[in-house]
Amino acid sequence: MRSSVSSRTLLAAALLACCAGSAWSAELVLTNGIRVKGTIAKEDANGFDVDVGGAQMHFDRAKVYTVSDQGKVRVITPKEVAVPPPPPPPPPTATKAEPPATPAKSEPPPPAQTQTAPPSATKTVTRTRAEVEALIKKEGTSKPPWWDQSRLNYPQSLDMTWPLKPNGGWNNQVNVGQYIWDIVNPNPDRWLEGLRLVHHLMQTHANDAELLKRDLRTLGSMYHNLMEDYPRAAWFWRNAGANHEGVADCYWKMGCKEMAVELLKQLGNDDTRHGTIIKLWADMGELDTALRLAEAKAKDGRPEVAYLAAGEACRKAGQFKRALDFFQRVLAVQQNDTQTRQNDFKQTYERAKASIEAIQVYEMLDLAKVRDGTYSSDSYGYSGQVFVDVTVQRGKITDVKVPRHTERQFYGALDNTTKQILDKQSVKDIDTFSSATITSEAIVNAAAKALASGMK
Amino acid sequence: MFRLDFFLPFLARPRKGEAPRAPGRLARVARVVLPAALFSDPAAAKPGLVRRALKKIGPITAYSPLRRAVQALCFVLFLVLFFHVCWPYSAQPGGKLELDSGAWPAHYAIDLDAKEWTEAELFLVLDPLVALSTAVAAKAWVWSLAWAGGILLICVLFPRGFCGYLCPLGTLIDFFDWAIGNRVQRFKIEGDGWWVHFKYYLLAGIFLAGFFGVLLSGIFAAIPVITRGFLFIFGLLQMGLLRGWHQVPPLNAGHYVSIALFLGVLGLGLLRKRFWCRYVCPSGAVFSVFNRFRASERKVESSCIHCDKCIEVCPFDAIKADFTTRTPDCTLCQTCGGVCPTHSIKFVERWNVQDLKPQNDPPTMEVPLSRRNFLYGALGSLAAVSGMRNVFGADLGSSNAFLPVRPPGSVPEPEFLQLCIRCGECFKACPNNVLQPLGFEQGLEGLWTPQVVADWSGCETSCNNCGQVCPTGAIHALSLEEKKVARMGLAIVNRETCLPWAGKEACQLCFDECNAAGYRAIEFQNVGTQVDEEGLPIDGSGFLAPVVKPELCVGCGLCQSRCHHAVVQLKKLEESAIVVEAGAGKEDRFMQGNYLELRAQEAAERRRKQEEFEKAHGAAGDGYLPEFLK
Repeated sequence: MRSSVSSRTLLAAALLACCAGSAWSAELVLTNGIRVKGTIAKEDANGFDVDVGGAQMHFDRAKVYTVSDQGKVRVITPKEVAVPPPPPPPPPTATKAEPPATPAKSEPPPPAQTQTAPPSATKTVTRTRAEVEALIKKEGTSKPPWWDQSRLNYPQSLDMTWPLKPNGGWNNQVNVGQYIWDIVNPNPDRWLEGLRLVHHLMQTHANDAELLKRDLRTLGSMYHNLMEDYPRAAWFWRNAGANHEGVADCYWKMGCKEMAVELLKQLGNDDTRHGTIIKLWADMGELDTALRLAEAKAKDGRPEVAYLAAGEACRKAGQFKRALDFFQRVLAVQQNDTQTRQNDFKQTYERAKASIEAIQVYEMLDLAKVRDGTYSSDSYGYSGQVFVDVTVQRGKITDVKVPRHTERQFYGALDNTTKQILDKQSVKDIDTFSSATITSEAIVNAAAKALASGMK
Repeated sequence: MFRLDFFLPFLARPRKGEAPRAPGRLARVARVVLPAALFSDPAAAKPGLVRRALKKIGPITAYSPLRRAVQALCFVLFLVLFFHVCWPYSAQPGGKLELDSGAWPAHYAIDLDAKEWTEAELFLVLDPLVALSTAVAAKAWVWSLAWAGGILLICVLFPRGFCGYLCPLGTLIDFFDWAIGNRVQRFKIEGDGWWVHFKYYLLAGIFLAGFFGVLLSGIFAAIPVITRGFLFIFGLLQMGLLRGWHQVPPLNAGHYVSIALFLGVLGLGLLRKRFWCRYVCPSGAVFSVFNRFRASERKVESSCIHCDKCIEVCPFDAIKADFTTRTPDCTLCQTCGGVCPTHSIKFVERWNVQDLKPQNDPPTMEVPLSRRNFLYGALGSLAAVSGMRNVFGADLGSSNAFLPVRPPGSVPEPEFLQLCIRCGECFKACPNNVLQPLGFEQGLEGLWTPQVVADWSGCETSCNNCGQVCPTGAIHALSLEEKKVARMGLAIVNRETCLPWAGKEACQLCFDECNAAGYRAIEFQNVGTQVDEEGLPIDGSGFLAPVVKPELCVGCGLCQSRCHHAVVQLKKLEESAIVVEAGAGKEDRFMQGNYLELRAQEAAERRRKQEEFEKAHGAAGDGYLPEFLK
């Protein structure tokens, strides 16, 4: 039965191709990263009518990023970061077909196996200040496209007053913030209902400025960290009066370096826990500023974080010798004080060590010299080892997988980073996934080590 | 009217004083084409090569070669179905067919489908007792009743022909008798006793017990006996030799009892040849009873010279002392017809009275069927019913009843115990031995029934073999699409022992396994989250622990198997911390229904509840932004 279905599909496709004359088989990449393979029956000013495995689907031009046109790839609608990614990316370890993360959509869902990683955070557009402001306003005040397919769902036991300070001890079935931390964040399938919950609670906090501010801040973080929806993240953060480095990151991601630089300048020195400001400066190509801030932060009492960030900045700029020097300085820092710090310290230390190893293999790495095969290695991530398998065939990277990891949250990095390595055919110059830098770096480091292990 | 022994005149020597028959057209052609040495010379009464070769094998082969050929073919077919068709490991993951079929893997289902050019369970459905007894016990229609009806219809022409020609157990017993039984004389018994009718008493007992809902035929029916015997001896050998001995699951009491029963059945041949088939086999008894409707039988003409040759050669002891036929036992094997020097034996319609020899000459001294023994049989079976119910039963009503996880698509437990014939075919077709026979955990009632042993292995996502090979419908033959959502149990996380729940170490093996399989029925919860001085959670503190989503879990046991093999074998735990459990609310079992529809109903119900919830708790408007922020 199975084979007959497929042969019927083939027959239908063949018939279509013969009768329509203009029909051709093609692959569409949608702006939300989804790939659709099928036969294009019609293309006009509105969009494409595509026969996908026997089902007729229509795609608006605005939703189509590229289409492969008899061997050539045409860009239909340039990718914009403003378009929110598809609902939660599947966890990385799932290699087989998965049911859609969200309930049935009115739009025909694309075949599950063609679903790919969310769009890379790579900037493809630049925007003027006015354009960014307009985008933030437009997106921020209108509900996101997934809204009507998502559900309001939460345990009845939650304390819906959601006070600023939770009562009693840690209880993720009562305290909203703890519920989000423990149960929403680790499960991409719950991100949308988590957002709906916070939106819902915000409605009830109209008369309490403090609570409202906290709600807006939470939404900003969730749109930024989970959804990569930068216009909305910026809108909610700004309405909460939180003009911090996260907002600057949004500006940068939306394509306006000017606004990001302006805000970062206001913020001044890096007082973040993981050196986020330094990293952002480095991402924007401002190595000198990044290093200056790192020196300041080192004097300020967090030398290990500062040097690590400086090292990564140099590495990103291709200055490996300098990077090595900074990483060595991290290893030389003496450990001290509170428990929180100890956790962080260990992580920073391990990351520096992993980066040193990776840089040492970077120097000698030559893809053309890697024998065909699958190579595995690991590196230190957010909360433990991240394992990576890289497959090479005839000097090309054909597959990158993360078979095992213990990363907690922000799974996006796993798909996004492996895809970038594949696309760029390199482990150099990979843009780390904004909300999961550490995981991204670990994947890059492990992939570099794996490749090096396969060299002749 | 008709003769069923048309080939015999060619085999038998011509009667004394009679000219040999003129060969038929086919024989004439054969004589021209083939070397003359193959053929007998009737004039000189010299046997040819063919005849001598057949005689070398044995008298039965020489006098009824057609029957031996059919027996051999059927036995080979049985072996092919058993060892080849029900051997799942020829499946190729990721083959072209599988890619065509979509993303959900299907290689085991495709493989069986491609190999199963005829029912893999052919001989099981041909054994009429399998279908009849389960239908009586469960008071339900069993699909293989149609096959049983078919074979009984054929047996109007060939009464008990099944036993003589088709039954692989009969063939194996013939082989055993030839190889061993005939050479060991010390256990042979003389004379007949009440036990010559034991099979009828046993059959009556089986149906009586079945009427009270207790299935006994699984222990005695012919094809389940040989299937199970083969499974627990040669099936395990096949597994060990071809897949490695570490893949052979440990044996339990059920295995040993079954092996002993199988060897016992063969061993009966030491008492008398085909002792089992003649006196004990209840499947054979079904044919003997249906023999009443026979249209053909063996007849002896008055030319009989009382030479005793037919009585000596009859493999079934179906010839009385007066050389007439014990019709309920005659399998129409026609060996006697070939051996008869006077051509007095014919296989003709039942009503033929032409030129017959007188009956009861000499006197036959037949052992009559005994009412008393039927009564004993009935009493024995009632004792078995009561014993099963009260002492050795599954005790399903009790709160601490042992509830094994059954294969996907199993009927409800009481009916399952009545429908499962315990043939073991599902074990054979199950990749990685997820299904293993129960011992006496569920009393005698559950003996040899299949249970999912998830500590050993999890149920393959791409496989629906067990239902496909079940001869009685105890396991529904589900499509892969439906099997995918058939709930056989529910995984329960033990929060005391699970490593992250117990705060010992990070572990997400069950989560990974479930996702890789495509069920996505396990999600995470951060446990043991630590807070800093301000009460804010610390990044990376605590562990991600597994939580099962009951609406997505089908109880395949992949998680349990993973936990067991990784964690338990590293001695970090005594037993798997995630265990699939069966029972009300944890599994879906029905006599008739469709799992896809059931899931769709549940989804609709959840949606309705969700909408109610949103109505009760939702905010005004679309809820995205409060008015003042717009």
